[in-house]
Amino acid sequence: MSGQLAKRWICLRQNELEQMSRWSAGSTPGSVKPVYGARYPPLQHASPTKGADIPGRISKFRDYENSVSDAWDTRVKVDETLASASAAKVLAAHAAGKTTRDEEIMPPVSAAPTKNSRQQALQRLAIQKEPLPSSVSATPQTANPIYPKLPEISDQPRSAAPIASAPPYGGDRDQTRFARLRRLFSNGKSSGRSSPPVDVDLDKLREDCWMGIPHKLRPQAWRLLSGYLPTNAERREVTLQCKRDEYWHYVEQYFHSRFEDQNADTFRQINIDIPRMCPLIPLFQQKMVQEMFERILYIWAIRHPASGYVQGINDLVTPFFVVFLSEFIPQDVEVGSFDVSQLPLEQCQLIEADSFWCVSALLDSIQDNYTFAQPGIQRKVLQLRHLMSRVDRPLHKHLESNGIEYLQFAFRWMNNLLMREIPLRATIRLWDTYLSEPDGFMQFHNYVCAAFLRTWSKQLQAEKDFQGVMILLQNLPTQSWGDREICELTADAFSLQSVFDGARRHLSAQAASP
Amino acid sequence: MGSRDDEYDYLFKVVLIGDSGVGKSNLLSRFTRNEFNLESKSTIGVEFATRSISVEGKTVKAQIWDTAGQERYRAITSAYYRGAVGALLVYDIAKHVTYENVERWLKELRDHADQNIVIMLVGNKSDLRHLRAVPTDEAKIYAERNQLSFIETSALDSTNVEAAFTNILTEIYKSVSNKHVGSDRQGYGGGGGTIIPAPPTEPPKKQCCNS
Repeated sequence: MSGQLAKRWICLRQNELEQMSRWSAGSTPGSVKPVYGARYPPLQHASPTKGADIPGRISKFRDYENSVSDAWDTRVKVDETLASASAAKVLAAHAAGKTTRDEEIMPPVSAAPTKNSRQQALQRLAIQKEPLPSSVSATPQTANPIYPKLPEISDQPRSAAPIASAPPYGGDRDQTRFARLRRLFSNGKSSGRSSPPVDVDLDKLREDCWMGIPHKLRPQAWRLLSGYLPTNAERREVTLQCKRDEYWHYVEQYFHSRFEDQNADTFRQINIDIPRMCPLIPLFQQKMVQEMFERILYIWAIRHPASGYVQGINDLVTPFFVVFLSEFIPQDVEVGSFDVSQLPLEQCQLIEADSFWCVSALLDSIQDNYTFAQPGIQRKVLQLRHLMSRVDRPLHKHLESNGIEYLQFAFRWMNNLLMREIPLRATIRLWDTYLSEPDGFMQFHNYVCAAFLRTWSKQLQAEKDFQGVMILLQNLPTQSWGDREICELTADAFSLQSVFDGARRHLSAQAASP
Repeated sequence: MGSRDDEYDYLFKVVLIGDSGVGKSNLLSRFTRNEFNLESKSTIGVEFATRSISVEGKTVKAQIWDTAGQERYRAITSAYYRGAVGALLVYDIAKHVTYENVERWLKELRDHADQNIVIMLVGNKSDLRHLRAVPTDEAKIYAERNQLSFIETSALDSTNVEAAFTNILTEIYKSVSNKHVGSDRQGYGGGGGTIIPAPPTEPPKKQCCNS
């Protein structure tokens, strides 16, 4: 198991290793060096394989160097604080990965209760794909619950760490981080502890949440990070009450209009999409849940006529819904199969209203993704293309030479914020980070997409024609993804952002032509 | 995965269009993988699949683009009509509104697709007999009047799915072998023509254009 993982790291990260060499040799972003060194511990494992291939390696370095050389020419200043923050985060990412929190994040659960077992079996059969020959998904797929549970305290000794020699500070880091978060969200009554601050420092909160939020604290943390819950503790109760009332007032005001001529199309579309949402998670097949989604989506659409409801927006509600629902579910019960009708009505109403406001805040930041002609998506796909031409030129060239247009696969990545590409529990974990980034869904997402794409660099380049590349891109083997993969992904994205965000000119049109 | 069915004589790009929820994705998965997903997710943007069949002794490879049905996506999806030589315009026989919208989809094709594109009107979900809202004859007459071929299918029970794709690919093949469109080879990766007859001697590989 650990051997397989190490191999996978080596395989996935050869590109970065090359870049690391380039950066450690070059002087400009020197502070990035320890970042990469720390992040890719299997260096010593990698070296034998890489040593055999020095000429090719050098030429690849040169390619890469050429592709980015002008980025350094224009005296891009690498922000020291950013770089060291990046380093810290990536170190932590590595540490987190090392401690294999997987077992606690993805506890084994009993199979979901089947309402209609034949139908579900059919579905499973139907979506079963032949394993892709080049897939490196080494981890056998187990029954994964949809909800990522970060450990409360990761103080148990962990076995099966992929890199045995790595220092054991990751657990400590998480512990102190989690302790700070717990204090922040405590009600001040617990004995021997100082009471939580009246005002939450949002920057500090973001820092502590970036690497993943313990599941018990996640609902409240997400409300704060979404800007829905005031940072001032004294205003919270009042504000929440106001907002929740306001939502139900909207429902009263607008929901009856759903069958009127000018709105019927919107509601029809919502109605077509909701039953098709996460079809394999029983939670979303419950009538009561579907009605909650109908209201959330319809009210949002009616209040945002510039975009209206666009397919995919329904997916974006699901993480909020699951997180806020989890607040009322006993810890040992799998959220994905929980029967919502067991909850008291007021709790359901609260989940619905909070999901509405948080998804509204999210959509506000990306609304031009969904207005006419979807300019936000077109722009971001273009940016992704430019970025890729800088950070993984061989892959970029491979895609282009096979006639792949980025829009063909990345449209969905942008429209659904990668939710269709990774399992829901990984999405929730990813959103811990998005919500902790100042511009997470808008800006950071693009770097995550670049990091995501180059995760598959090797496999994609092994596909030799349009069809092979395209089919793989549409079915990337992420079924087993969880906390570890998201830690790697976001750390990589953060490094990319640190390097390129101060130099956006390099992502402008002239940069991209092959 | 590339080398499995790389041998082909013709590569035809075909698009699947029509209202949301009429079963386009399931038609595609039934044809290319013989799978049907009772509650498949909505298609976002476009999705791609491919299958080769034999037409009059020639291997014809269909490169099929499944598009999202919602109006908002048209600006994006219409780009995929470029280079398409065939279109399956799908409606749901149990939902009359999806049939009424066929007119709008035809206009989309007239505005964005090649004027010689072969269009087949497909009434899907023919298994829902008790819910039928569009009479077969009505659709048949409409198709004739608009010079479209017509078929009713059920992706769920497989009825006519094979026939629908085989018919349209044969129709395209015939129009190609009559007209000899082989010069239309530009636009590699840029959405140009997609009817690529193989040169007679060398094995036809990677000469297609994928728009």
